[in-house]
Amino acid sequence: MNTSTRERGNRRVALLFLAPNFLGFCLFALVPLVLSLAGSFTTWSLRPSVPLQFIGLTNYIQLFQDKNFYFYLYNTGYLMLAMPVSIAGALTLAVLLNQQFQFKRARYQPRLALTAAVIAALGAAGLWLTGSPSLAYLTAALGLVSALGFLFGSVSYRTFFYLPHFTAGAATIILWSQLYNPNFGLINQVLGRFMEQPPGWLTSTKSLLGFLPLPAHFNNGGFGLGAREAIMIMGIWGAIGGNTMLLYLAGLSNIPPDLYEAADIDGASPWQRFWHITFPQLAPTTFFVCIMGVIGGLQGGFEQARLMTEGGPAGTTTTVSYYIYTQGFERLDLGYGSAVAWVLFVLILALTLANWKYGSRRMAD
Amino acid sequence: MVCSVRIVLGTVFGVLLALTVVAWWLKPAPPRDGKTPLVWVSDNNPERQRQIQAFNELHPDLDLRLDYGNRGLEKIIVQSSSGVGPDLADGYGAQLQTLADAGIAWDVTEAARAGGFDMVSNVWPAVWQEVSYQGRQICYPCNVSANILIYNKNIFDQFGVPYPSADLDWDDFIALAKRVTRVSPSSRDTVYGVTGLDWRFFFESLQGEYFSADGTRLLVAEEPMRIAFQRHQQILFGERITPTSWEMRTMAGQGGWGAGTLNLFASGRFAMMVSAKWVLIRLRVAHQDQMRRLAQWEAAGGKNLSTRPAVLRLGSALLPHAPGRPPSYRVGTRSVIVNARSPRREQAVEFLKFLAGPVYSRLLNEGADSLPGNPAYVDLGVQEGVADLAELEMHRTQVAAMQYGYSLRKSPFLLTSDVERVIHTQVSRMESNPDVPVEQLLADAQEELLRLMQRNLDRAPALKARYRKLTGTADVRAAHGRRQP
Repeated sequence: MNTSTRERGNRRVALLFLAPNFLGFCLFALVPLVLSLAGSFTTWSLRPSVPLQFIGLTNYIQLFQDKNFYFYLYNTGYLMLAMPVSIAGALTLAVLLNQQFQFKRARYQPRLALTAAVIAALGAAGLWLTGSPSLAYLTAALGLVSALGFLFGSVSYRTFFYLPHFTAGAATIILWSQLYNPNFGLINQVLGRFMEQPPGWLTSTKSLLGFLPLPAHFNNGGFGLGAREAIMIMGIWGAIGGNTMLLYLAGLSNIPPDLYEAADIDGASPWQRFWHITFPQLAPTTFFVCIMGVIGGLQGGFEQARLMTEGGPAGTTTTVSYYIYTQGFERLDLGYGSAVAWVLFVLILALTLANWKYGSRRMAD
Repeated sequence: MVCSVRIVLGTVFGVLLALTVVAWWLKPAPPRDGKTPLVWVSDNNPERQRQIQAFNELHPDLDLRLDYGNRGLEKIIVQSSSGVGPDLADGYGAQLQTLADAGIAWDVTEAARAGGFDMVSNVWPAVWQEVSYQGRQICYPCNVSANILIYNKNIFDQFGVPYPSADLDWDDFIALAKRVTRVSPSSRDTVYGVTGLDWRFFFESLQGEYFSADGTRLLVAEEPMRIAFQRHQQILFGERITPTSWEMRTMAGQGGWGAGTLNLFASGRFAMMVSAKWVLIRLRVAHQDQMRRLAQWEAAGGKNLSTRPAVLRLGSALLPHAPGRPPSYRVGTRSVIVNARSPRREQAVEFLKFLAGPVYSRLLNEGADSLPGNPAYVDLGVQEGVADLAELEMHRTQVAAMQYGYSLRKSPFLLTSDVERVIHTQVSRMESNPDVPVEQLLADAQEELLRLMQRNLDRAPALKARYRKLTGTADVRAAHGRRQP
């Protein structure tokens, strides 16, 4: 068999392997995409009483006249303010988890683990008996984490921090909505000891930008912690130990150790090592995380709105993605919903291109 | 290396193959003995299996099955539009109109006449508006209920307050609810006077409507709604006799529709509840649980009365009425539609006929659900039930409430679900910021709804022509005497 025949054969096999994926992409992504673009210029509706007609840019014009759209866009942007905190948190955590916890004498590790477990068990039992079951659970959990940490080092912490990602999103969201219960939730039970009026969380339209003179239909409830902040905190909690942390851990393992050795010889402090070596070396990861974060952020907020808040209170947690859903499947207006989706796409594209242009330049610097 | 890659890929392939076999094996069995399969999308209430079994016994040629995993309205619409929808599906209130508007709910008017389950002769008059759309019957009720007042006698006894009577007006009722409300700094000791009392109750007491009789005019900024919003604001922030809807939402901790609220009611967190007889399904379970705990306490030689587990004791009465007006309550249903796109819709109609018959009505009454859709069988199989829960009294109160019942008009020009969503947003706005004037909230709701109505007209020429014929203009704002904002 000559080389060209073998190459042709290999190409055929490669195409055969690619075919299922490509067909799936065409069927479930490309065709719907084209259909939704075409549909956004029509009266496409699930209501038989609405005939399918070409209406040009009407959906887009109505969308830009729809003041709710701007409100939901604002909500989406506001929720994305959590992104820098999530990235910074994930980076910090990754740097911490990248440290090697090593004891000089390995035989002390089980003893320390046992001590931590015993102290936590006694503390939890005491709290349980004094009528604080929630704090007892918390103490027991902390004891378990410490004990496993002493036994297995940073590996166990990496696993613990990544655990939320193994949990079903819906279950996590329901759990958080219970924690945020303004009357009976664990968060306000703790805050209630220090504050006379703990935040209303999911019941409140307040926000940290509530002092701004926003239009009336933005349902601004004033300065404070409200539903949007509740969702942001939940998002930060999930993101800090999530995929971003894993990406940073992978990035950290790729930094050549001789850079740190050189810095040590030059007498660099830990902060200088981080700022002048670690952070610049992680720039490609940060760039990637930022781009994915912006894309995910603009598309985000659907699950939270659907399961936690139904977009409320007063529409303050309705994001653009949830708006697309309500227009398409609650109002049955698929044409209008498609128009919103395409405007969102253009926004994402524009921001990603801007990110690419300015981000990659900074990365090169 | 190549060998290990082959092993990995081969193992993955083998696992996928095995999973395919498992999936094939788990596939629902084909209908037995050439029976026609029918799929009913409903909730997973334990009573459903008894109802399905009774239907299948009456129809040996049909095989009705429950699908509780595809209950969402959006799922039903999308699946049906794609040709894989159920044969029968449950719908509540505004959902029925949405299903009809999406072309999913089949027009069963003729089939109902032929099958002897037409609404005029076989459905409570109070729900005719609910089960029909544009004069055509689109479903048959599984159950029918007008809200009543259900109260916890233990709390009234504890506060030394007399039980509610049948002829209370709003003001008497609010005064009564305040006497059984205790908002404590420790949230666990808090007892609210009432749950389920909101703007809807006041609106319906005034027999309010969202639309004018011909469906062309929106009435959400009119007097009944204004009064309803003001009263809602008053009970939330002035009297504090009920938690806000968001507080309720977060208080409701367990699964099942309303189950969290019912658990809180059963545990004595509310003195009264605006609801219907169907709550007995859940409260029976709570009562059994409380009896078990009481028996354990007694078996343990319990002497400290402060630790004695409370056992629910209920009473019921008609809901209060607006001052100087006769009672008026909105009647709700859970109804079943036949999927217009089902190839088995003719057979599916048999289930609607079954719902109107004595076998189903008896099962419903025995199961302590709401009332049967057919008033002829309202008392069939009704049992004394648990004495503590005053089940028979609740049934009678429910029947008495039906004579004051009504259901809301629908408009072909705007979905009722749109109206309710927009009103809900304004209510939520009011609850989070009581300083916004009610007039402003209603004006904003009206403005948003006019925009949506205009959008509907602009997309459907036939609808637009009809609107023009009725009002003389196709401009919704002009028809409402308003200028473009």
